[in-house]
Amino acid sequence: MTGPVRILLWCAGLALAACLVTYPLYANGYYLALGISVLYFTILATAWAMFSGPTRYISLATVAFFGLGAYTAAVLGETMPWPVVLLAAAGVGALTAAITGLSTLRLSGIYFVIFSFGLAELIRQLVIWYEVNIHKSVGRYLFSAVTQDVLYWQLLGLTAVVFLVGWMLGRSRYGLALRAIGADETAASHSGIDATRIKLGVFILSATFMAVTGAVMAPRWTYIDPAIAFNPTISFQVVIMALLGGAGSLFGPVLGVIPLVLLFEVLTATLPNHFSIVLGVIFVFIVMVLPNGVIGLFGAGRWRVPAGGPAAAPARAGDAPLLAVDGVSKSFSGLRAVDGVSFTVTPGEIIGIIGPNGSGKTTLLNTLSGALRPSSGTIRLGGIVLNGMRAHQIARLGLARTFQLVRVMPDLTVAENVAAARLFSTTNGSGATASELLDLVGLGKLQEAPASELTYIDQKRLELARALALQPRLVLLDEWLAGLNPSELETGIALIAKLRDRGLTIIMVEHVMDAIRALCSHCIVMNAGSVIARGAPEAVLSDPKVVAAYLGGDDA
Amino acid sequence: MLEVAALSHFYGKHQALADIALAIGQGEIVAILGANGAGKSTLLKSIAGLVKPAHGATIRFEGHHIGELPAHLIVERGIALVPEGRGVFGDLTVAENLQLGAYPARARAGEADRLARILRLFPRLAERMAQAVRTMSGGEQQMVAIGRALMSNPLLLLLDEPSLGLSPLLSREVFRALAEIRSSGLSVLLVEQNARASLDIADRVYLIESGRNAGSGPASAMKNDPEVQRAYLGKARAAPSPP
Amino acid sequence: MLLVDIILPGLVLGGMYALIALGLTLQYGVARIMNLSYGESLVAAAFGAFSLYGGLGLSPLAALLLAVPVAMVLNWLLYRLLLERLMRRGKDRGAQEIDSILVTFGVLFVIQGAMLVAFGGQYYSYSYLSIPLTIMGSTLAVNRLVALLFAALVGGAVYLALTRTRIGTAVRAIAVDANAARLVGIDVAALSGLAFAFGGGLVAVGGVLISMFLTFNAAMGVVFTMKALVVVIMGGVGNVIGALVAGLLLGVVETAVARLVDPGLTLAATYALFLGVLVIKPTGLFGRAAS
Repeated sequence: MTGPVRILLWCAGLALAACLVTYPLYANGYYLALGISVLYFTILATAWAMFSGPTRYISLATVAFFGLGAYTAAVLGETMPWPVVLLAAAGVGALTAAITGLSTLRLSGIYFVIFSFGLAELIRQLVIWYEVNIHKSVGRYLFSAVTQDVLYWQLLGLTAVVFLVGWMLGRSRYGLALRAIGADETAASHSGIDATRIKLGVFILSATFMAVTGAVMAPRWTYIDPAIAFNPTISFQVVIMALLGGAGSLFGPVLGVIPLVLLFEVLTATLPNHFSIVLGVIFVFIVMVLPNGVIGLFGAGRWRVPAGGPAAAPARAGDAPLLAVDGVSKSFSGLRAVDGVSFTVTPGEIIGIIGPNGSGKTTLLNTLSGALRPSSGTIRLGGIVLNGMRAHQIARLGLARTFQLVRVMPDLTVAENVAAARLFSTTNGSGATASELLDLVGLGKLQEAPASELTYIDQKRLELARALALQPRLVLLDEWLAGLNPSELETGIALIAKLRDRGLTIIMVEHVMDAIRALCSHCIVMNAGSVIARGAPEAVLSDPKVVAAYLGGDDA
Repeated sequence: MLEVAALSHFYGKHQALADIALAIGQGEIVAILGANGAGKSTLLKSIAGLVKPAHGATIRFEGHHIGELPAHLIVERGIALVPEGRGVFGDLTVAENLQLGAYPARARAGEADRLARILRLFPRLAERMAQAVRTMSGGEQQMVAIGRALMSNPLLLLLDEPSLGLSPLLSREVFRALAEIRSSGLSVLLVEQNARASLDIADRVYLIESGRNAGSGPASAMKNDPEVQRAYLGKARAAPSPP
Repeated sequence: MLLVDIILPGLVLGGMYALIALGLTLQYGVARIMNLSYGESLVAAAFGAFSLYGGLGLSPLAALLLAVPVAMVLNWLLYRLLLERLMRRGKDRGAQEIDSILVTFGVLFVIQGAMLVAFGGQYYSYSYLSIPLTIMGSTLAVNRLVALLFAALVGGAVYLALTRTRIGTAVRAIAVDANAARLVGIDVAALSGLAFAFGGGLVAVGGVLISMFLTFNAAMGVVFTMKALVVVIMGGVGNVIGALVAGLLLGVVETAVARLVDPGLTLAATYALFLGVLVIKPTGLFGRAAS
């Protein structure tokens, strides 16, 4: 951006800020009230999008936190200094979000939506119970000396804070982590991102803003009862505004707030009794008309990729087994998918796992990477027991993997996919940079391309680069060479050999016998959940048991 | 009876099938061989109507174009697919699964006879009619899946990896059943990992590689063809020795 | 006896919940629509029964004959005109679910708004067969027992239809595996629409029956939707027997909380039960992990 243009933009920005700050001085009552509405919806919508935007977890609970904040102000407003009231509201919002988040964020997205839908109703009933039994009257009066002007300025300040926090969040590693979680939570977990904790943190942050907004707004009403404070229409309006304006970026929601607040003003004036109906019809129309559905509104916010974290340790030397799998089994309601599998992997080896489809190979990998918990047996990585650890913890310990059905984070660029694996690296030392890794797998020229636009082969390469970005000691490849034509296969085999030469230890599940022969020093053959043969590839592939179970005939 | 021409399909950017052509006649067993990921499953799903082929494909069955039809109408025309992973209704019983097989209109007449024949083909099922299918072994589930497909009174049976996850013993039973099915006049299009067994039972073979036709011919000739061994069985070759 | 005082009315209430949840099982388990406006249909049916009783003196049981077909047609139209388009457009299951949840959220506001315009926000009730009856030392109103009887009859008929007829089995097959259902010639889209309509009919039955003994207002829909969802998810999605057990359980727990703790905390108790079940068994009491 050139000098003069920059100065111009700065001047325009300052002028806008000046207008906003002095607004109460020249706007009359009606317009001031409108301004207040725009501001408080902006805060609510931006806070909503802060969580729901990147994670795609649609929260219908905005008014639950807003109402709690309003009620906190009503309860404490007469007796405590105002800053304390605001702090208390923030605390109440955060605590409620923490409790509800802990219970529901581990569940699938749709259960979260449902629970958030009823949350406001639940809290409303709890507040009514409290008011009836403890306070002995429902409905409170809030006499406050707060003028409209002061209200406006408080909201303006809060708006500035929410944008500032949103911006900082976006530029921090949590911003990219959030988008990675929203794009593909499993891939994110396996890249070392603690999805549950991050979702919870941002959920609490978002709820805190909503609660403080409610507290600030409370004096406007003078009289508060649960029906007023917990009006579900507010949750609904916030969702529409944020989605319409664009939930994927920080300044998107405000673009939806302004026109809709004006529209709702017009509606309330002309059709006061039919507000709900018209609101509902508009929303249904919007969702139906969207070509990509509501998900399409989330877009792919382009936030800056933070510099990668410290790089990882060099491969361990020595003959002690890197991975020790001992008697591992995994059952699914009576079906033994993996049955008493044991093997060890020494550093620098490539181990092949082969067997017919349905023999339990992928399930075994899933127990190793933490996607599944073994029903029995022990798994040790460098002496540390992995049983019971979650996927992101295992990833941070240095065990990376690719997936049978390739999992890239579609809305992130190639570079961002790799960077996501670097965000929470706990190892120190030198190692390849993201660019070097991308060059290694052949994606050096595609760094800014969105991952969803890559070819299937390139997506596989990206997955490998992302796994390598974890600076792992052990990589699990789940049919990584599947679907390649002969020349791609040669390149792929050469790449894996190069990785081994650089000190990486690899376990590969494969059907491509050429690759097994070319790369593996040791093979395990699985059938119906158990190991039926092990040894060097040549020996194993001519073992009559293996031939009968798998190859079904002479292998030329 | 079935003619496929210029069949292509894309999963997003990935081209799974490119200009596939094949034909099947009455009472034939045709096998499709190819490496994993070569597009064989997608081919069967395209014929069965579960995925829509790209523009320009021709799929003709008994003289009618079926490329645009939804899956449930293709079943009415007489094509039944036994999908990879069996696709049985796990929470329902064997009897209910087989009864559902006869849901299409073409399968109602003679339903009882057909059921009797299928139970003769797979005696194990007769003993377990009230059992929930998800509690049965892989092999038994495969029998339920094939039985259910046969209940729809098809002219053409499509099988996607029927011996998937089955022990050699159960695989043999499944292939024995396929031979018997062919002898009743049905045509069979088979995609199978177990190359030897499918070459033994098929009349003709098509090779698919990276989504394209890579050859075809009578099964007897294919068995000894080095191309087949390369594409499907993975021949040994001079390779850098592992450390 | 306190225990009987809790269990008997609890089962009556639970029976109603089970019936209401059955309709949502059809809409969510088969048609795959998470219908947030479900409770509004129930309240609308209650208002309908109220109007017919007040205006024409028509008994609610007779009103069923009118309410159910109307509800089925309206729900079927909702599915065909709006929801089916979303299902076809959705690129994956997640996108379909979000779209359907948000559209039904909008429909919720439309229906609730219409009821607010027509009836206002106050509470309504009417008296029909409120004759007290003493069973095992506990007093129940006849209308509640009649409601339970009807619920049992309707529920039983639906259960038989689902398990003994070919079309019923086909509907259950769609809930188990929609793709496999296509492979046996089932027109999944058409049958899903039918299941959705049927679900709407069931919730109308529930609404009419409940109106006989409960006080209701235009804003109550949300609570019923939540309870139906809780029962469906607790029982394991798509599982009819599960919905029955979960419904009865909820009815008993709620009645117990109302009697022993505080009537204002029933929804909190519902949520606590819901969360408790999900934390221990995330797929529901009888549910299985999705294939």
